[in-house]
Amino acid sequence: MNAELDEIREFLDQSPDLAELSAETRSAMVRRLTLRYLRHGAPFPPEGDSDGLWIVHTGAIDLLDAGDRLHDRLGEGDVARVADGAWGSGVAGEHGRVTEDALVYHLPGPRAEDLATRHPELADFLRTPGAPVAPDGENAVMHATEGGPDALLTTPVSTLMSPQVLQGQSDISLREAARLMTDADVSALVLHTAKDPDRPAGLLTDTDLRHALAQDLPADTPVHQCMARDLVTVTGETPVFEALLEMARRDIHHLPVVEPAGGRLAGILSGTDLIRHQGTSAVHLIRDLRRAGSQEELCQHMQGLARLQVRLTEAGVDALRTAQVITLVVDTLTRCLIELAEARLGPAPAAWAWLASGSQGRHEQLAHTDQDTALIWDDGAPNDADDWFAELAREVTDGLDACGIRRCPGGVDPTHAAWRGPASTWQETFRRAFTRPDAQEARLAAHYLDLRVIHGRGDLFTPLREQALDDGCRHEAAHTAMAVQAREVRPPLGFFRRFVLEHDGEHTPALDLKKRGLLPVVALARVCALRAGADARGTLERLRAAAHAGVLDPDSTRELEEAFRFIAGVRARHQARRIAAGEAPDNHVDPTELSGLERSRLKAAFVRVDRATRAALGGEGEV
Amino acid sequence: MTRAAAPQREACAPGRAAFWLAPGYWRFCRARDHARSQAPAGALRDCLNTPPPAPSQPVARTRFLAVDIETTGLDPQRDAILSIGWVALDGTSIDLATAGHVLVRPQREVPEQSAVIHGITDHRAATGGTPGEALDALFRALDGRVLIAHHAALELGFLARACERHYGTRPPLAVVDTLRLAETSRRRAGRPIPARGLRLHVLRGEYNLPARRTHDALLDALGAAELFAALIAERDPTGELPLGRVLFRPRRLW
Repeated sequence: MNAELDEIREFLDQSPDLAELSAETRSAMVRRLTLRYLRHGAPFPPEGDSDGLWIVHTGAIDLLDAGDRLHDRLGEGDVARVADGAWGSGVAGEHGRVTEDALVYHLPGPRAEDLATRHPELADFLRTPGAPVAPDGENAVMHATEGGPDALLTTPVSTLMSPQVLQGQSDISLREAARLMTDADVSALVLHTAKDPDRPAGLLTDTDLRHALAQDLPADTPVHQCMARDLVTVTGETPVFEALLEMARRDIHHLPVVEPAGGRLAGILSGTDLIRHQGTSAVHLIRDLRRAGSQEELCQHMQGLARLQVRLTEAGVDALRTAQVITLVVDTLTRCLIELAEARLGPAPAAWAWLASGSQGRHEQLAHTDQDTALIWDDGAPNDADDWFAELAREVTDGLDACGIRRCPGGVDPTHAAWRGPASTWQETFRRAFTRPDAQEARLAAHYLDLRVIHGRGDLFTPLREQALDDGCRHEAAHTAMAVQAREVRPPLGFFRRFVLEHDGEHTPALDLKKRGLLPVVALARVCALRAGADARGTLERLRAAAHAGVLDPDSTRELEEAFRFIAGVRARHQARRIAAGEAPDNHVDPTELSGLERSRLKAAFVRVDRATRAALGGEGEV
Repeated sequence: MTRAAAPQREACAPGRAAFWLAPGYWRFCRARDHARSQAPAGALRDCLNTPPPAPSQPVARTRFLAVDIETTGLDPQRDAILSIGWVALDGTSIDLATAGHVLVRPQREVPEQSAVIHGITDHRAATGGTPGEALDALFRALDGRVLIAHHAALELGFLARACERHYGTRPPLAVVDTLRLAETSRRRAGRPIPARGLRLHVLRGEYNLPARRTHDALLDALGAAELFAALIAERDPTGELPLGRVLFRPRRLW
């Protein structure tokens, strides 16, 4: 008997959930399947021997919890594992229902086990818990698509640095130093004192020589008068990425590398070393911004931000690290704009600070972003100080907007009176938001917790933050209100189902990865960190702090971290694709651009976020 | 293959609920006994030796075999069988392990036109068995099962002709016609039936069943089986519907 069931096998081959099985296993499954037609409204799994693997060909099946809230939805190509007559995570009250007439394939339990004796991978596949997703075995894929441990910028400094360093004593003359550097054809000279020849005492670079010439210093001036002291050093184990950040932050191009113990010089890392390995455009972009003399120039340089993001993504840099670099650029831009505004407006009437909230505050910003900022000034300011600050706010927000950092649609910027004020007013606002907030104040509290000083007097804001963390941690009402907020954003499990239905039609739904994927984790991490009383702003740091304090269990934390990284990665790659195609980057992923596997992983990530959120925040009505 | 579990009664016996169709059923049983006495020893005789299911028996506990026959044309007298495909159902659960497909080596050349439709050329058909071997395989699979076909009259016509040739008798067969079932369901719901609205692929679309390649005997048989499962799910979610209510009874056979 030569039955040709290729069509069924082809269908199994297309199911992303079955992609982790080999083609042989899938094709061996075909002749062991039974088919059932399940009518709308019927329970799932159907009565009778329902154990084993179920694969949906057409139709839709919902998994609901005791409160009839949607937990998961199976559509075309989705797989459910049924054990002991139940589908789902085994939570009491969970039940499945057919919501659209469905043709389903069933690999009955005994047949599955029989097949698994010949295809051991099927045994693992059957055992995988958590119904529709496969949490194990996919980490490899998640990490692989994130660039993995080999990712360029996670490599240690020691692999890129030059171990041969040109050295000299700090009492030689500028002429001698210049000659040494010319002979060796290097741009930096490490200097040490006569009595401690192993420890670098200073650094002389081409730039210092240029400055010396410009200042008409005689050629026999001892170098220690011109060299940079208080050297910033790294060790050989420092990730290149960290070194890169350090260089960008301080606007320098050479970092002496020292041994962790004893501080002996081990090598030097230069911008040129990094150029050979990309990623340096961040350093250059920041330098260009710093040197720009007008808003027009800033705007021009900021055109490179999107390209920078693409380059980092293509180089395999982790999406969260990319976001750190982008945040650094935007921070720099903000400072430059503030300096330009200050130059025009004259001196500030009081000590003040510029604050950033949202993704910038959390160091999680990408090129496609908007402003979330605030202004705080000293209580001793004169009565008309508000005019000056309002004008500053207008200039800087306009400048940011012109440079591609869009004005906040929600009005979170200091051109609005609610987002600028003297410290005492802020204190009042914070006190309310973190003790007994209403829904609106709880929303604002979330912003307040992400605030970070970008420019100006940090000590103005520090007491406010300490008070907020303290109040928020102690007052049940505050984190309850924020937990309610965090629960409002649920991952869109039904999206994947709609996609299956509509991807042939004219209208393809888009998935907002930021709003539906990242922000639920951000909100959850914020609440949990607040409960733990942790002073962290980054989402991953918050999750870890919460886990450390016992607010989150380690499994949920791990799942959330992985899901967050993965979704951020999908978003970064999506934006890179759009930028490369000459389109404006956004957070809306058109499902057709994802591979079946990526789609399945993304869904798994959403399911994890949903599961962890419910585990951490509880169901409706209790926290 | 296990033997039919359902029919407990001796030979033919109508159930209580099926009084209304009893005369036809008795005629059917007499014709069946006659065919059995004429059939040579082998697959057909074995098949007829198994008592047919009682019309009162619930569909959910009846065993079926969905069958599709691809032919060189539409006239059983002139045209030949090219291939037969089938798949078995227990109640409305289709079991792919039972899927079968036989090619028949035609006694004449395959007409070009039908080769285009079925993709069965002379060359491929030559790898098939004789019509007798194909019939034997089909009746072995049909043992203890009720035949399902879409537009069953055509299948029955070709089967009757082929049986007459190879077994010297025309066995009456208990049959479910998914086309008639769908038509009844539409009439009952007062829904109009558009031209060509009862074609297999059109009906499948209405029941949210996936599109399958047509004119492949096995896939068409599977298609009919899926449509049958959908029709029964629509008409009788409890599964207690008696078989007698879905059987197809062309006067010629009964």
